[in-house]
Amino acid sequence: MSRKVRLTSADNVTYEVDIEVAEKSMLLKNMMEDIGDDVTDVPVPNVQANVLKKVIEYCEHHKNDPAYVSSDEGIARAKATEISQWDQKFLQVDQEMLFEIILTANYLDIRPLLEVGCRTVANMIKNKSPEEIRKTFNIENDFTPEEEAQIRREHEWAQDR
Amino acid sequence: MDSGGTHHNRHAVGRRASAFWKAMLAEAIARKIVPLSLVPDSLRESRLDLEPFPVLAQSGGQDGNAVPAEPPRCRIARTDSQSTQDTFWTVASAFANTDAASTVDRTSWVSRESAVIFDDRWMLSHNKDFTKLLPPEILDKVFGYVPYKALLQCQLVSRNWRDVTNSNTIWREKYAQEWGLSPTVTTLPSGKSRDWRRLYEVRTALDRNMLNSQYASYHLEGHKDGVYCAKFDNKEILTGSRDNTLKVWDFKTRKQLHSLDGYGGSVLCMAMDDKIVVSGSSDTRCLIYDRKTYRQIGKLEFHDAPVLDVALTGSRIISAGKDGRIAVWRRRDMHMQYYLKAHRGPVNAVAVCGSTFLTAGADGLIKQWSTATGEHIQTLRGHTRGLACIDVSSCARYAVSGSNDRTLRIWNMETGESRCLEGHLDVVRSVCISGSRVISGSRVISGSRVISGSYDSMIKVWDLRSGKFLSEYRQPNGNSVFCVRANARYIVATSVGVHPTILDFGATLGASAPNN
Repeated sequence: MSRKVRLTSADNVTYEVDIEVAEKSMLLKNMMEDIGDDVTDVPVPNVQANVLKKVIEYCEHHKNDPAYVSSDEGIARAKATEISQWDQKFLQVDQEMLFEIILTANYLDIRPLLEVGCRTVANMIKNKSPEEIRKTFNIENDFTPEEEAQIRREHEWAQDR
Repeated sequence: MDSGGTHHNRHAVGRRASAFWKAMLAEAIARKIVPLSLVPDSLRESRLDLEPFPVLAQSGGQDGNAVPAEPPRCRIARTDSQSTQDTFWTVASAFANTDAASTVDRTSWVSRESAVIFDDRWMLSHNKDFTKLLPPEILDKVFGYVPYKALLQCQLVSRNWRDVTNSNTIWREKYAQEWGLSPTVTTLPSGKSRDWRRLYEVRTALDRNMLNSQYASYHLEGHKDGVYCAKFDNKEILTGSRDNTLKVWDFKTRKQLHSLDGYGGSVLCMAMDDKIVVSGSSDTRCLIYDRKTYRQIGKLEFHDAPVLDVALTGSRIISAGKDGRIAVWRRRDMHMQYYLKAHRGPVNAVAVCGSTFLTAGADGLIKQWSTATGEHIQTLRGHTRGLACIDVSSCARYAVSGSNDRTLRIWNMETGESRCLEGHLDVVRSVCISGSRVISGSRVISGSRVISGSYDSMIKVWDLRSGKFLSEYRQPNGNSVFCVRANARYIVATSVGVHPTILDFGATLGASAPNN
């Protein structure tokens, strides 16, 4: 029987999880280690319940993954592998939630989730024209025609690759 | 999940609020049109029945530019004749189905609407540009995953996107993904920083020039006979010749700086680093020179036949002889530590591979040895005739060999497997791997090149990872190629002819092209 800890969100919703799940977060892991063995209640300020619930879902699913090895080649390595089906489905959320998850993964220091979140955003950007990107993320084109022409000129050398 | 009624109300209202409306107010708030202080607590729970977006299109026609399908944020940007605040009011009033010209109590109106929207949850609304939402270190990560061409598209999205995607961190990552980060690229005088985007562009142009054969060529004039070997760094080119000299040339001016002539025979091979150059001669000796002064600082005598190749590590010198022997010398005092009878027949080439070294023999075999102990590790078989040359990638994962069987082989040093590259019509006399790779997990990232030179007078460029043929150059006068060395910008080739050739693929890129 695994030890349990209770995580409480900024808006006071409490979730009980196995300690291995909470320890997917390096922030929580270090925090719990600092406090000692008997800790059962861990506040997670800055994270709203709906987001915390999602992040816990991720950690539950990945609790038996090998520890994430940080390296300069993280991105390069990630490029070599596909995002798992489960992760893809997990991140099929609206943009607001996606960015919340990324911010939370960053704050709680859950590197694999942060990476997969960033890759998901990158995949939303890939293979799109600037106009399509603007539509996807609801961005206003604030370039003057001159500025736009200037950038296109800078890019010209690259177009004939 | 929501515990209180406040959340409930807000979400109920939020569902009714169109994406447009959230965008409007986020914009208004971002531009400080609607300060938070204007929102009274009592209004925070107010429920509003908001009209759908097309209402705007009707009333918005007054600026003569109503296009309902257009994202509303664009509309704001385009009504240049009005101040931002007035535009906001025009649109906001229209949206509230009131006359834009009428004197609404603007303050209370904004307050009421803001109460619905203004909440930190809504500030994270998906209508807000995420490049303004996420911190720079996360944006660097996101765009680090965006491929190069898509990154260029991102630059055309908006001013903020252009700025965010110009981050030096992102372009450093892009560069590393394509070409790896060798010490020559990352090491800079203190206080200086690299413009990684510029470097990326120059490097891309160099690669393109190498594929499209866009180059300038130069010659080194001074040798009186064929040139067997060459090495270069960003300052000097060193060449060893059948005229019994080793010459040192200034890379920029291509003027001869030194001519070293202590040899009783041809200079067949050499190895160098910043401190020393070791040369092997057909007079059976190796001569060692200081790289600064080019004074001879030692000689190695052991072989009883010509020295065919030499290699250097931080602490050792390895020499390979026509006598079939390999000698390993301590660099510090130039004492021989041990020797091996490595192959049947001559040992034509030797290369350092991490803590091991490889020898390539006229017997068609490649053997791997522990440098420290001389212990035999493995033998690589594949070539059908004698080997002429071998080189190892800086990551020590790949070796490339050239043979009398007219092929090259790229060896995966972990598995011992090889890929055969065909195309040359005669002995592959010299091979060289250009570009250091980032190793990531179980693979090496693409971009690295193999350059080969053959007695068929051709210099060929191949992709290390795929083995694909990329481009080729003919040595002038159809001379047999003896040696090729290369980096990202240059290929230096020597041949039976007296003039070593330099191919410069950065000649059109001006002074900004790096030397290596």
